[in-house]
Amino acid sequence: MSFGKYYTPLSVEEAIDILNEYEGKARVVAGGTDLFIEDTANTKIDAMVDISMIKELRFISKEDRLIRIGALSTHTDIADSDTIKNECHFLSKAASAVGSVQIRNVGTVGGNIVNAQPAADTALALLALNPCITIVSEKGKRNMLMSDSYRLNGGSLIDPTREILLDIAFKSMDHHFENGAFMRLGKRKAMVLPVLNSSAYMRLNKDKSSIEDVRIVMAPCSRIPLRLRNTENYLINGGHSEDIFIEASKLAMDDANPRNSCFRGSSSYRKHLVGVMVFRILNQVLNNIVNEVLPFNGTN
Amino acid sequence: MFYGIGYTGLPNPSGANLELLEDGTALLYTGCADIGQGSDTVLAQIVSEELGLNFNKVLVVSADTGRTPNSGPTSASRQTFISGNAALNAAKSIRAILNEKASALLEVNVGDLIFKEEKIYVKIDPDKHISLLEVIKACNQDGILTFSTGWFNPDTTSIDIETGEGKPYATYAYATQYAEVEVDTDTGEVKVNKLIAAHDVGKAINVQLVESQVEGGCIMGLGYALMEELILEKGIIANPNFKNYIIPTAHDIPSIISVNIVEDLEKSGPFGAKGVGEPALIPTTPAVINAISNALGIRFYDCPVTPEKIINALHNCLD
Repeated sequence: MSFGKYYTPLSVEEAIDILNEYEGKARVVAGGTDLFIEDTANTKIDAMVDISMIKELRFISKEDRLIRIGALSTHTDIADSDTIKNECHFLSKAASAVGSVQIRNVGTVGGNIVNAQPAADTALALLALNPCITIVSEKGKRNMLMSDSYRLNGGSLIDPTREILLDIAFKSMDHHFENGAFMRLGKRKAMVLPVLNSSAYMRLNKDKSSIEDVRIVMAPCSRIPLRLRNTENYLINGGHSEDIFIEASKLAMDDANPRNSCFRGSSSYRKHLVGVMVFRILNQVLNNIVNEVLPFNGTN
Repeated sequence: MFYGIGYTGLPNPSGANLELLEDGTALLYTGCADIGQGSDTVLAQIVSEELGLNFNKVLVVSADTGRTPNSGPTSASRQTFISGNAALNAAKSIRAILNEKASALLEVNVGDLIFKEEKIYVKIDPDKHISLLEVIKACNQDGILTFSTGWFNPDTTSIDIETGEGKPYATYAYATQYAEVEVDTDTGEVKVNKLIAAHDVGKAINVQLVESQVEGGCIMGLGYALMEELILEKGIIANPNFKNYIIPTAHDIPSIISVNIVEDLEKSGPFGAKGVGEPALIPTTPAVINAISNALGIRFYDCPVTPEKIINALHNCLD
């Protein structure tokens, strides 16, 4: 990859102006941990617009029941944040699983979302919380559900030559009835691309006897992070016995339907893992709710 | 397991040049390449032990084809044994020179002297001693250089082509390793909880280096058992990089790796030492795989024993 000029704007307005000037030939970069290792020897970018100095985009806040994360927050920011650890610990766990310490210190959640790798850990965990994202371009700001920002055949609808992701926002959970979980399977315990990643969210009803709402996200088993909708529909308004979870894990195996992969394993093996992971993650979320588990303690 | 030290049934000598300077510094020239296993340290220790020098007074010039003699390659677990002997032989020659001069100066027999802490003592009367520097000076005054060479080739024979008989190695290193594992029978993941290694190294010239060597070998052997896999697609390597060719990280190693050094002195080795380079890693792989077999009651005959292979084997068992 080669590029011409390298800009370091100090404000969002300045960045958008530069992007417009280049009419699609310039590109936003923050941490660069995905972009700079892209295997694009023949790509020539006229200009890089490095937004990492725009301080107001790097924050994590909670106001009333709304949690907001600035797009320039690094994975380490999220992993170490007391707000995140207390409010949605599984997001801290997911952010702690990204790449390596060095990558986590530099890579941003915004980049994680716009790069749109299906199994991107932090983005996957966020999807379980069903956040709203704010994007800005020369046309102004717009909001959309994060889950709507993925193209069906892979990649993001956010255009890094014209647009900048500003922040991600989601409702905080009432830990009496709601919680989430994140799980990762890989060929070794660190610094490895995942064989299978999953995040889940669950809300029980007031007497905790049935599941009011559930979201299960799994990757990589398609070009985008996959919501297991059939499995979710089966679970909603039902109980949470072991038999129900076993049935859900069977449905999930068809819902996900992964293919043969020379690195991740055969289709039958990956399908088997989907079933195992769904069963385990549902149990973990339920356990987190029943025990009102709060901060990430390193294993939950 | 037992493992032969040095080339199999072939000569593989090593040479060393040693110069003891008038300020008491020893310069050791060895072709032996230190690739991280610590041969520079070990060879310096051997020379300093033999001559009674402070370890810091031995300077090692190694692996320089412009200046050092041929010591053969750093492979076949051979350098401590073979280059160690070469350096020791060179040191012994210089010791003989110093011994002769010191015995004359102290008026005792040659066999009555010991070399320690930069002095030469009379064994039965330690108060009677002379400093190494004085002896070197006395040699120089007589026109004697405290300089020597040494070399060593293991005592082996070639293997008879028809009968397979012969003496392929001068010595063998022995080891036993034990692995304790946990298998997740739903995902196929294997966790190695404990590795215990016992290695007969003849003599551990440097205990810390031997322990590190074995620890490193254990980690590599664990990776070979569970992770390392060259993936070929129609004859082309699909993972020619460390992103997809998986070796262990710090998070993957057992919290307990216990290394136990056994010293069954090898007569023909320097101070009884043999070697430990390859032995460090060889027993680990079968120990881990045997542990998995013990856990599951299923044998595995090729590695890596991946989670997918384990799940397939378990499913086949149920059928």
